[in-house]
Amino acid sequence: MKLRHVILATALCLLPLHQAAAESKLADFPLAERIKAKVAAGQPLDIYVSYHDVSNEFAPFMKAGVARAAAEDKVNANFIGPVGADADGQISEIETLMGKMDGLAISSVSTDALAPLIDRVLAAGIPVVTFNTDNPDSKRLAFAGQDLIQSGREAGALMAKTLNGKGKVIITTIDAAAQWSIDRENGAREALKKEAGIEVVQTLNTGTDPQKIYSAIENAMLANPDIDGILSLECCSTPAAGTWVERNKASDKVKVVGFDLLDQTVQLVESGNIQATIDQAPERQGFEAVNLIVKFVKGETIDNLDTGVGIYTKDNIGEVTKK
Amino acid sequence: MNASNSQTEIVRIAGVTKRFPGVLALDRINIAFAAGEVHAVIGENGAGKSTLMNILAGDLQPNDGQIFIDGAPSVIASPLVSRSHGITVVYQELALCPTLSIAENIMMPDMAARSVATFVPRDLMRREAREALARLGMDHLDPDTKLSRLSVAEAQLVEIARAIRQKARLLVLDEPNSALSTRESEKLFEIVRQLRGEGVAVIYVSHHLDEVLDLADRITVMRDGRTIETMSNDNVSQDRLIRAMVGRDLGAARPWTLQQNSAAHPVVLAVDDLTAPGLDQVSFTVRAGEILGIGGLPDSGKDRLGDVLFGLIPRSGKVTIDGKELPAAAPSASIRYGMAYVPADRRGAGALLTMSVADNVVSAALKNFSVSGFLRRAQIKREARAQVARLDARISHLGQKLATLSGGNQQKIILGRSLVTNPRLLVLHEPTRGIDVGAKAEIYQILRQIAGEGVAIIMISSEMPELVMNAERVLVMRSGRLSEELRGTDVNEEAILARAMAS
Amino acid sequence: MTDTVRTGARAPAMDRFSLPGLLRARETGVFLALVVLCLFLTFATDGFLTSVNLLNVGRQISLLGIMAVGMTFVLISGEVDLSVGSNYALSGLATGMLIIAGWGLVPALAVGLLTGMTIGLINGVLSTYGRLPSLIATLGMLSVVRGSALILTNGQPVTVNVRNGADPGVLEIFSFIGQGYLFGIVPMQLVFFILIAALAWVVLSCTNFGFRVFAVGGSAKAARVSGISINSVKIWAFVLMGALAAFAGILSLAFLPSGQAGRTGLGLELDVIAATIVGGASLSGGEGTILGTILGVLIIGVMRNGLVLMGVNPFVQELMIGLVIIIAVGIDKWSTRRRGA
Repeated sequence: MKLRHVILATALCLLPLHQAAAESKLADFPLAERIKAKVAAGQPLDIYVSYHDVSNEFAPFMKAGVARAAAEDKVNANFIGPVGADADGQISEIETLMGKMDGLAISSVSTDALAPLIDRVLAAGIPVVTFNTDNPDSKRLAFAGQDLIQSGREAGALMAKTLNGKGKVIITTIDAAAQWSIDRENGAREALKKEAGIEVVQTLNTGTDPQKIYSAIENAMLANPDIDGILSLECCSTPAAGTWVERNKASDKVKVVGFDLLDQTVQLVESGNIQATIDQAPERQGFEAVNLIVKFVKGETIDNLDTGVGIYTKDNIGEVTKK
Repeated sequence: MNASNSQTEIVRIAGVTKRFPGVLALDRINIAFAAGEVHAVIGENGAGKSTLMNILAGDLQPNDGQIFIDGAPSVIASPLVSRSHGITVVYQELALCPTLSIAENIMMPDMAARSVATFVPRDLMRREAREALARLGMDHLDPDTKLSRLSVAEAQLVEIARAIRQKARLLVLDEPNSALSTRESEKLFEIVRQLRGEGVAVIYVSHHLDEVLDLADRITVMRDGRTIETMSNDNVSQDRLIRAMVGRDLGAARPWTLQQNSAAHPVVLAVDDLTAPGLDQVSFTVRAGEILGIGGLPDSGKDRLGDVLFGLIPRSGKVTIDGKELPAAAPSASIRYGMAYVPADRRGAGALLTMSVADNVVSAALKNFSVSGFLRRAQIKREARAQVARLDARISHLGQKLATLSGGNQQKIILGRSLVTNPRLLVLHEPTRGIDVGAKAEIYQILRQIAGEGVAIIMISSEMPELVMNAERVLVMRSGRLSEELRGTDVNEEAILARAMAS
Repeated sequence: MTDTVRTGARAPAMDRFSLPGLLRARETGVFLALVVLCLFLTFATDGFLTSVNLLNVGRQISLLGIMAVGMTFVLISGEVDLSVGSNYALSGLATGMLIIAGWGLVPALAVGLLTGMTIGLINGVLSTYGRLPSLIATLGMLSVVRGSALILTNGQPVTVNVRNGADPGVLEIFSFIGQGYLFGIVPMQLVFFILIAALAWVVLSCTNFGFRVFAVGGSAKAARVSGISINSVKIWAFVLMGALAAFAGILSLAFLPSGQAGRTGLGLELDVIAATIVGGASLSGGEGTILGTILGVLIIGVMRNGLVLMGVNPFVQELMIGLVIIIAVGIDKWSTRRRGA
């Protein structure tokens, strides 16, 4: 199958982002005097990277990317954010640190809740970029991350190919109401709709607790015994779907396409219980978040940056385990 | 009647003092309890009886003095220690578990004594509980019945059954029969006599002097935290006991103004055939400008009268204010017809302790101080300031929290709150409970002033001097009924107490 | 003085040991609700009344059930424990990490259970000697324990498998505990739940400790004057809860076999309390039964299963679960009031 030869879709990075181009340059920005003085004196900048949930499994990779950027760009980069996707927590932490920050990279818990704060930070003359999860309602200078709708389209297209354009699909997500989930779902449904033979039966909202995720999938598969494919929109229902297939010895009948490279996911791809998974390159997102701000303050023009998707199947998953 | 063979002292209390913030509850009291006697302890409310029993139970620790048990100086550090000395207390407020069965409640002390890691001997529990109940003539109760399904009287008997089972050496019965019928009480007395025969020391705390004279070998009278005298029960009369309780020389002075009467003034409140739980066909009237006193013992029904009048408890009968009959027993109706009520329980029901003086003053008439839901702060301040000045309440500022005021000043603010509604009738329950002497006098002054403005006042109080000093007429309650009224020079403490305790 | 109006003799004797007695008790309402729910689902869906599905439901409610059994003790004693979801995460993940580190099964399980019991002990001591309301003490512990789990795992998922370092022999037994089937049919989790519930029923209904739990929660004063040590009873109830939360967490990890400190057991405490309350336990203490709790857990489990089988919109499912909690507890309270108790 051709699909198996699709390796790191570098071409995808060249595709235009769906957001309008958002070029920003220092000349148009009222940089705070405090920061200007720091730059002039050659002192290292204090850059804060606020991630929407520092307790999830990507946080350590993001943090590693942030640390790498800090070392390469010679700045002080601090990785901050709430435990457990708490918008109020994220807001109050940034408010507290505003006086100290020379730049902010943020992945918002909630677009609506954080947009006014981002604009306030900008108004104080502090450059703000978004990463991982964009906040298009704000006036942020640029976004570094995966285009969520596009990644949803990729997943949908992979599922359609895997099923040879025919079959019943359920979509699973740990939080159907979250913006990232809605974006990916829209992208996935758009891609699946292109194949007339494919029917999306339902979107399954599993909740975040691993036990609940598994039970939800178990119940849904029992309720719909004729399902041919499970399309998971995130890290965490992906291995649960694969585990269900493995335990029910259903890999011939039920195909799984999901996201991210959790340990379990990698193993399930190797054992053929998950057909394909899409990586977000979190380390790169963390790196680019800091790097964009540094470039901006140095006077370079910055623009939205797609950190790309990586597609892994049984054929190339070995690259992950080698690392 | 005299104590039988053994006269060994079990407990002797020597010079024990107990202080609470602002109150001297026990003042160097001396009393001893001997094996094989029934020792009655009597006194007015607040005389210190319950504090003394709580010290025996190990619930409270004395500030000073010494307790001897079997002649040896001892400290009753906890209920457990008390029980280990063979002291068992039947509390006035029941100490039972409503969610457990009768048998489980009766056997709770036994279970506490057994190892945790044992099985519950259900059959044994039932058998023993049935025996304990039978002893009190309660054979008809199923030991498996949940306690919450029992009447108060039955619960009281269960508590007594539990105490008797424990084979105490010193059994304290604190108002044990307040809810019991005559027949049930007689059964209890029979058992008390039987226990005495077995050499148990029984302490019997009661307001019912007839029972005390019938049952006790010795009687100790308490007053104002002191033991006044201990007497043998030979040829003692009820009058003698009442005199000792009141204190001949301490009778309250009655201002001459109260000898007059306001009979010419219009009737504000007329109560006709009022019946409710604890109240039996109560009828009386109050006139404008008059303070009517209501006295009686704790279980007489007087403590319910305020709640019933205000409409907190369902009732039957007619309540009329200024000639108009109240349509329903509901606080909202009572307020609309001009009644204001200051309950006894200041902390629980009366006041918003965590809120400011100003908020408390206007809380009963918020409608008058708000426009489309928004409070008019300036107007609230004005009114609060006026009331504070009128009542001479000593506060630091209007925003001060009520909880930080002294009891007397709290009560003044609460009075101020009731006055904001311009009531025709003010019902006060224990208006000076827990307030020091100086503040009491001020509150009496304020009440007279309010009455002088034409408001009718009902003062329900356990403190007889308060009634004598302030009320033009006094009605005494007993078993839910009102006695004939005392007026003019007939109002004195002995007369009130005699009617309250009359058999 | 009036004679007594009501007498206890007229109240029906409640024999806890006979079946009619059981059904006359508080649980009746919940039981009937469950029957109605099951009948409805049997006719409304194809998949409900199949052995596969029923055993699935049995497994899905087991972990919740094991924790709800512990919560029954805590609630009856007049307290509440909000830290159980975090405890479930920390104790389970700690056990998993030890197995990955090459530990034997018994020591790893022992450490996991001890972790849970220690959390229970802290909850108990704070709520008694520490004089904090248990709502506050365990709310604090909810965060403390969750934070500890995040620190311990550095936010990384813990996956128990041979590649990560688990001993194959240990892993085989560990997996059997969580994923296995007794006689090839009954999920092991359900077996544990049944065993624990049976044991708990004996402890609560037949032993002196159970008696004291009821006494302490029903009236602290009555218990105290009887000489029962209120503090030690409550602390033991918390320790038991802690052990059961830890055991459920361990079973969860053995089943999945992966967990993550930021998500595992998140919000689980509310499900546990809800199930226990639906089963008739009272938040004010003194009341509750193991049977009732089992029924409460079943109602919530069957409800979740049924709603998915019927293909109900996930957001509507949340709403329905909430309504069931309100209605189930409401029916009990309203009928209690009518009984005049």
